[in-house]
Amino acid sequence: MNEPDDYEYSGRRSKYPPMLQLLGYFGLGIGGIFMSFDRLKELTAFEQPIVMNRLQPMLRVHWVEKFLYELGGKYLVFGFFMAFSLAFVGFGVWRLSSWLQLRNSGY
Amino acid sequence: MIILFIKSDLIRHQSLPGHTCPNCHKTDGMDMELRQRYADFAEGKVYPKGVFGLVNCLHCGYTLPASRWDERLHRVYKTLKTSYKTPVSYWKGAIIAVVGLVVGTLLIVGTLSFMGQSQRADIDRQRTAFTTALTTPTPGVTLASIANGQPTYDVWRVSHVNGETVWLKKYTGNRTLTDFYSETGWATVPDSDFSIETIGYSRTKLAEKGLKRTADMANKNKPYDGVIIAVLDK
Repeated sequence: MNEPDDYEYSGRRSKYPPMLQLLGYFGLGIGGIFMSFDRLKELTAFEQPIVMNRLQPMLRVHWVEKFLYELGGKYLVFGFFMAFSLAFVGFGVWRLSSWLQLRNSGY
Repeated sequence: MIILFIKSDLIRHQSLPGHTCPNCHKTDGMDMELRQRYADFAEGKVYPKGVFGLVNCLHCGYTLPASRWDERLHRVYKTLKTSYKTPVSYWKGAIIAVVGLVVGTLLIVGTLSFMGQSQRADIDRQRTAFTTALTTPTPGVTLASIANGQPTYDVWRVSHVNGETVWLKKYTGNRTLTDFYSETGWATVPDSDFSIETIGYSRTKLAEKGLKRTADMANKNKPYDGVIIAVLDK
C-alpha cells in the first residue's frame, strides 16, 4: 500500500508518518474493540438481568445490532463489530508499516 | 469526462547535481519538481489545493519518498517555492460556479418577479374596473352577487340611476352562472331576460359592494340582501 502522498513533499511535516490517517484507523479500530466488549456486556445484562444485578433491561439498540442479535445472538453481534474493528486496526498497521518500510528502505 | 479529479501541474523543476540516486547510483540524474495540486472538473481547473515537491531520477525513474528528503533537499525546495504564487487561473471553475449561481438566481428571481408584476397588473386592472363600475354605476352594466348563505350567484343589470338610488333588474332567464371569473357573454344577454320591475338599492352601499335597498336604509339592523362580487361586462 504505497500511497502517492508518501512521495509528495510539502514541507518538514512530510518526514513524519501520516498522523491523521493513522489516528482515524487506530481510533476507529480501538474504539470499535471497546464498543464490542461494551455491547457484549450490555447484551449479557439483557439476557441475565438478575445475575448482572441489573434492574432494567437494555433500552436502546441500533437496528443493525438488533438484526444481528435476532439472527445469531450476542456473540454474532460481538463478532461482527470485532471483525470490523480489527480490520480497521489492521489497516492502520498496514499503513504505518508501509510508510516505515518506504522510509527505511535502502534504495 | 465529467468527473472530479485531483490533478497536479508541473510549475518548475531543477536538477540536483550533487545528489546520488539511491536506486541507480548515478549522480547527474536527480531532478526536483515543484507541482501545483488542484481539483479538476470536466477538464477544467476548479480550485487549487496546495503545492508539493517531487524528487525523481531521470535515469531510472525512481521517486525519492518524502520521508527521506534531507535538509539540503528541503532548502532547494524552499528556494524553488519562493516567488511562486498560485495563479488566479486555478480558481477558474470556482469563479464560474459562483458567477453562474448568482446569475442563475438573478435570472430566476427576475423572471418570477416580472411574471408576478404582469399578474399583479392584471389583478389591479380588474379591481379598478370593478370599483369604477360600482362607484359610477352606468345603465346596462351586468353585475353578479351572492346572497347570504346561498351557493348560487344572482345576476343583475343596472336599469337607471336616480340620485342616491341605483335601480337594478334581476336576471330571470334560464342561464346559470357557474364561474363568475371566467365566464363570458353575460354582457350580451338581452334586456328581455331581466325582470320588468326594478329594485332600488343604495348607491353608497353599492359602492361598498353591498346590496341594501333604499327603503331599508333607515333600518340599521337589516342585513344586506347580497354582496356584489363581479362585473360581468367581458
